[in-house]
Amino acid sequence: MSVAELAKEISPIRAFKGSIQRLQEYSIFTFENVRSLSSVWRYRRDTMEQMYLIGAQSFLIVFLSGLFMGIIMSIEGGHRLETFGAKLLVGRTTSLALIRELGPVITGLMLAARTGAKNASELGSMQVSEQIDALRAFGTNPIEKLAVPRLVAALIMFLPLTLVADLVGIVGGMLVSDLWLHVDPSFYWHSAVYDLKVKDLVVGFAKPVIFSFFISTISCYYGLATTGGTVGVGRAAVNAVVVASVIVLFNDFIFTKVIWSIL
Amino acid sequence: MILGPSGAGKSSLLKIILGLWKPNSGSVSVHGVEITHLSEREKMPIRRRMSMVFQGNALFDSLTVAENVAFFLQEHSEMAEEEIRKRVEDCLEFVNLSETQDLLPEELSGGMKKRVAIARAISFNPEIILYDEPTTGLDPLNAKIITGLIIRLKKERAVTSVVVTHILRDAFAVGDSLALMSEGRVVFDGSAEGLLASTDPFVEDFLSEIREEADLLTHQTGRG
Repeated sequence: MSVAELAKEISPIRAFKGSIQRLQEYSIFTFENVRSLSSVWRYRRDTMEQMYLIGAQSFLIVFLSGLFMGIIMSIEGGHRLETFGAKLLVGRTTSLALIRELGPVITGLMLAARTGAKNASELGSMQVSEQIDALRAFGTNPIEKLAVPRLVAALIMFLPLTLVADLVGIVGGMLVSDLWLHVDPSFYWHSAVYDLKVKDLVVGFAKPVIFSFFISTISCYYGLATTGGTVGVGRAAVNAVVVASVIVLFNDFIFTKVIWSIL
Repeated sequence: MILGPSGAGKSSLLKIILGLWKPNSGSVSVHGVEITHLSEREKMPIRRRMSMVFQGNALFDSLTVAENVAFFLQEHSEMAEEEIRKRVEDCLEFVNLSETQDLLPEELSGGMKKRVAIARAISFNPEIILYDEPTTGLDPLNAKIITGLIIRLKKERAVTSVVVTHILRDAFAVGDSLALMSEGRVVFDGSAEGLLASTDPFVEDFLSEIREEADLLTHQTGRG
């Protein structure tokens, strides 16, 4: 590639145009997904299979992420609170941080990586090997058959996975607080669970639903838009994970800001 | 038969005929129905009368051979499971692959994959089958088996075949009429004899590369 061609390739205007075009395509794709949601009953077997794949295969990574996040929060928070003689509040700070922010975000990022890469690479491979064309040739809508089951499965499974991350994190924090901070477990549990407000739970469990929607639609869009053979499949998987992760964090910021304004 | 060098637009033409791609200009009529501007849903009745064998076979790699062949029937027909099973057996028997029902595509050889793709294509008794380079990449024996299947489908089931190829031997063996494409345009449309006798510079140039083979075929078939 010559210098002139390279300059053209990385031109900011060209990149901006490309981004706008992808945004437009993604919007149409997402609209088609929502419009095709009724097909989920027809493809219930595919949906159940995706639910199993997301739930079973992501459980361990979400479990471990939640556990370590709870442990870290308790150690860090406990030591800071101890300075003010308020280490008994470690349960409350840990559970609030986990349920409102860290649980959904960490689960979202883990699933953006795992489910996002899986969706994009699977659908991308099907695209480059003409399997998507074959589906269409046999009169099957790829969005109904492939994207909607993945979307619905994600919408259903992300919530319990976030709950697992939250609970494991709180329990991990409790064990660490008992072991190293000498906070009585029953006191920790009481402050962690009973001090929670409905607002905290609404925020904590609405986020995974929003995150799952974007992770699934973004990864399926990149998969179905794959071009350029095996290199293209790799590029689609990377783009899906990067964009979905950024969107998870961006949505978290927007959601937190909006909720604090409303509630 | 649609002949032409690589990059001539042969495969694109097939995808446009099937309605997978929209042409920039022009129109496509199938059984008198203009399909170019139809929506995916509106194309369905037309697609149920057409099928395609893709160059890379495009078998669904997460499904077994039997599930691949049964795919259209399970998706779009009201047939009972038993009827579908029987139809799958018939289709696989037609391509002489009855014993492969439970195998995955990755467990098959290139020639076997192509035959499964043909079995899948005929599962719902289409009137037209589009073949994209059906013998490319196959050894001569398997290529002969595939061209034999295309001829059998034409004779026994009255299936109209539209075959894209760059192999003259296949074109002469299978085709009733030939079209030669170059850079997205049809530069010749007629019989095999007409192709060999053509004085069009592009046709001559295309044939010169394979003149020896063409002469042999002419001699064998008594054409020209």
